[in-house]
Amino acid sequence: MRSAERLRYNLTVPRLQIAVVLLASVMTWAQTPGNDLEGTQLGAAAEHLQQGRAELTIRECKGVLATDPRSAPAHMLLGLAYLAQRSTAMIADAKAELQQALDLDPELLWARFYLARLYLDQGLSEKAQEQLERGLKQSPGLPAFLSLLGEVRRELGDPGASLELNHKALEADATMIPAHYYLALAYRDLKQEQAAMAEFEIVIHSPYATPEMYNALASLYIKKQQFAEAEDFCRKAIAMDRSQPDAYLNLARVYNAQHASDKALEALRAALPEGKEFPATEYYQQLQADLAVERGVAYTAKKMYARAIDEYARALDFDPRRAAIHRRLAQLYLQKGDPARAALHSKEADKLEKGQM
Amino acid sequence: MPLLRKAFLIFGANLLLSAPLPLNSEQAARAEPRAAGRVQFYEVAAESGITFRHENGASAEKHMFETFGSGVGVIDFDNDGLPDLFFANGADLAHGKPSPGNALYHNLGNGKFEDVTAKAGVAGNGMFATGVAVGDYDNDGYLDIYVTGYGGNQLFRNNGDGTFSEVTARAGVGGGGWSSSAAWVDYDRDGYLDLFVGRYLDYDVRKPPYCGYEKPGYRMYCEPQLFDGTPALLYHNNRDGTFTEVSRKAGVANPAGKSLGVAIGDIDGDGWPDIFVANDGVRNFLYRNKGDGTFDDITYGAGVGYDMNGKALADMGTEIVDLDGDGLPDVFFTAFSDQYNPLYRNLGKLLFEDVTVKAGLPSSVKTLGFGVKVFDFDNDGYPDIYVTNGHVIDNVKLYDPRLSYRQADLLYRNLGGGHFRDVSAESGPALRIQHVGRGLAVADFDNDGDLDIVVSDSGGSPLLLRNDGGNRNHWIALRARGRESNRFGIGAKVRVTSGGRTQLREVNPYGSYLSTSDVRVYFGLGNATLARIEIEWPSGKKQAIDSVRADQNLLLDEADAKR
Repeated sequence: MRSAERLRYNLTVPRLQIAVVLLASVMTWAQTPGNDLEGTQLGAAAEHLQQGRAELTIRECKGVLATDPRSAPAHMLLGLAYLAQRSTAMIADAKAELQQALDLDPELLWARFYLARLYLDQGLSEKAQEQLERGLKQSPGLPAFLSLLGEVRRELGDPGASLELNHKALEADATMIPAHYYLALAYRDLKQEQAAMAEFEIVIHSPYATPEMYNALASLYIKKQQFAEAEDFCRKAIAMDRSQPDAYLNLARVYNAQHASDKALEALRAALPEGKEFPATEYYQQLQADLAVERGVAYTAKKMYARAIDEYARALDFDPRRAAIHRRLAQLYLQKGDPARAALHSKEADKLEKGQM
Repeated sequence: MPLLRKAFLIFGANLLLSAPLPLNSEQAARAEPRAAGRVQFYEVAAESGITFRHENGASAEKHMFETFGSGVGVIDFDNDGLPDLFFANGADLAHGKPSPGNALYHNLGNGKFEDVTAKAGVAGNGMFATGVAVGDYDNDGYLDIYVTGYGGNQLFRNNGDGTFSEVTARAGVGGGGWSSSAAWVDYDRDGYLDLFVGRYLDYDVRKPPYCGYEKPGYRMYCEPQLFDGTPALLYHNNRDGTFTEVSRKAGVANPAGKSLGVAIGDIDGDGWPDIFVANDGVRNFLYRNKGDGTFDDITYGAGVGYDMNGKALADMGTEIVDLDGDGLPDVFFTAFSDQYNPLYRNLGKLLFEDVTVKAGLPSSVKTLGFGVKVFDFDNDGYPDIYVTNGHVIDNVKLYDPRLSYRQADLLYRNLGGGHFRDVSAESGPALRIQHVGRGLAVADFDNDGDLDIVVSDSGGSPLLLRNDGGNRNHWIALRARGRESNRFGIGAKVRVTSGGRTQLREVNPYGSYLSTSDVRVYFGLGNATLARIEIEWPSGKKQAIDSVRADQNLLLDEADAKR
């Protein structure tokens, strides 16, 4: 399953909240005697992070570490600043700093929390679970840990556990917004779409909404064929992060569903602009297949069948397991007067559909 | 769902092969008179009788260690003055097959090598061997072999009669996990070599994640960021054939380490050997030896953790050598394709500056560098840089047609003062060989006064590159015989003054990637025929010899040194 929530390194615990938590933690540390200058620098670093100035946090932390390489809070803050850059290129560095922070001070709960968060983003759910359970042993009932553990359990295939843990987290702290997001995802997995939408609505009306949340909600509205709402949420997601390909893809789906092919093609062009760099992962493989499919739909609607065929063929090149695309190609080839190729695609679709049964 | 190396980007990856900075007229004028005709390298492994073939165990599961390659060790195991060769070997672990075994080749002195593995008893226990660190840990005058690997390491004690005994368990240096480069270092200067072992990823062969596109033929090796690192190991020599692991106590057990290259050098000139660790995808570690058995991680202050943009590179092999002749050891390491191989100049006071571009080295390379050696291939008195290359992804072309799995090596000639020019294209046919370079070591195998090169190839045959013409300039080679210090004088500093210039080198065959070079130290003297030699032993003793005639191998004995 393609999981934008994981791969995009969305910090679903909002940045502001991270920084507030950090600030308290760092300030506590800074009050220990003999660390005046370091404490001041770390306080400034945390302040920068709170204000969204990750680069300055990095600079301050590196300054502290140049004089005190064993400063666990500095390693933790540095790791969080790397995470706040929301770049896949910084994952390894962020993880390394958090691990070093914990190695120096295993009591740094928030380093453990964000290490777990990072593991989860990397698809290493078992490792995330291990960290969270360890954290809960250190500090039982901590709502943030309970909530994230719920999400981990969902990733491990147990959305029911997520519901339980996130409800527990909300009982302990009713302001725990991420818990609503994780509940929404769990309800979605359980096909309880109304409940999922209700939870999403809570999240997006909080100050902590992220593009992924809007986009997830847009997907649900597309499914319900409520295109106006879906378009609105796609646009909100894009407004928050213009580099979000999934939101453009959903927007294209909305337009295609309403036969607005030119607008769909425009959205698809914005999803992965020419020259944009991205990693060679299954996520991007599927994304490229999805984008090609939507282009195929748009060109079909515009009666540009040759281009539609090209796009569907491209989609199959990225993902040859899509029976539905073979069916569409069969139909297009028939229309084009090429029954031999149409038959080949029909046969392939039959084969795939049988295999899926 | 794993994320892969950012380097494998599909669109818009720009190749910026920057041209070296134009030379100013002074540099150009200095460069040409010293050029002793073009040195040419010829590949002679097969004709020398080296039939070793590396098993990388390449499988459909794309286990990470299959990309690793194995190292090569130069070891004059019988003390006949001719450097012999040891190759570590991998294994087909995916199919449960043990390694075909390491190989030891005896240098016969006539340009030929003889496989003496069976007699020597160094084939190993079938594990996937990676690194080779050669050193005389028991000070008996015979070089021993430490072999790192995936799943454990092995120590072979040289019995002095052409055979070795496997003493890993007794010595207590078996390690565990996935070890990479190792180096012998007398970090406490007690006269016995201790052992530093870099380790790579926490990788479980039973659970190989799927990376790359899910299409036939597109599965690729994963990126290290998907895995946790593992702390390095430091073993203290108990002087009785056993070791005690002191990594944590010594302050070198960073759990985030993804170590590939390890280099040793006294970067601050305080007499205590420091350790540089090149990490893959996370910042490097520069451990300063405090002289009390512990180290400080001074990376952040020194500025060698990240590249010129503040990002961690995917580092591989590394060297600590004074490249600009200012008497301060600099740091060089190799990195991933579309990154660059950075040179950090030692500014003194524990500060380094990335001078890659200033030095005329490219700010981006298409090649993926592994082993590296800094040595004076043309004996002009200026240390040069040789980098062996080869991608880690065998099907990389499917993802990026600009890149290739097999690659040619690079040779940068030092034009003086730490300015370099790429002379790969003009240095003989060996530098046009497309291969999958990994380990790299240098030695004067034919004792003709210039340094030859040996390169291990992942999944292939090694290259033995004979240096033809390097000895047109004068040279001097030194072997150290420690008494109070360790027997081979590892860590001793040698200064050679000739023609008004002084060169500094340490007796230090480590660095590069998974490999050990000749323990002898070679100095190019250019046109000079006499030199002054000063040596500073790890014990603190010193000695100096004036007017030493060029073009000879000298044995420097600590017995002649004074405090």
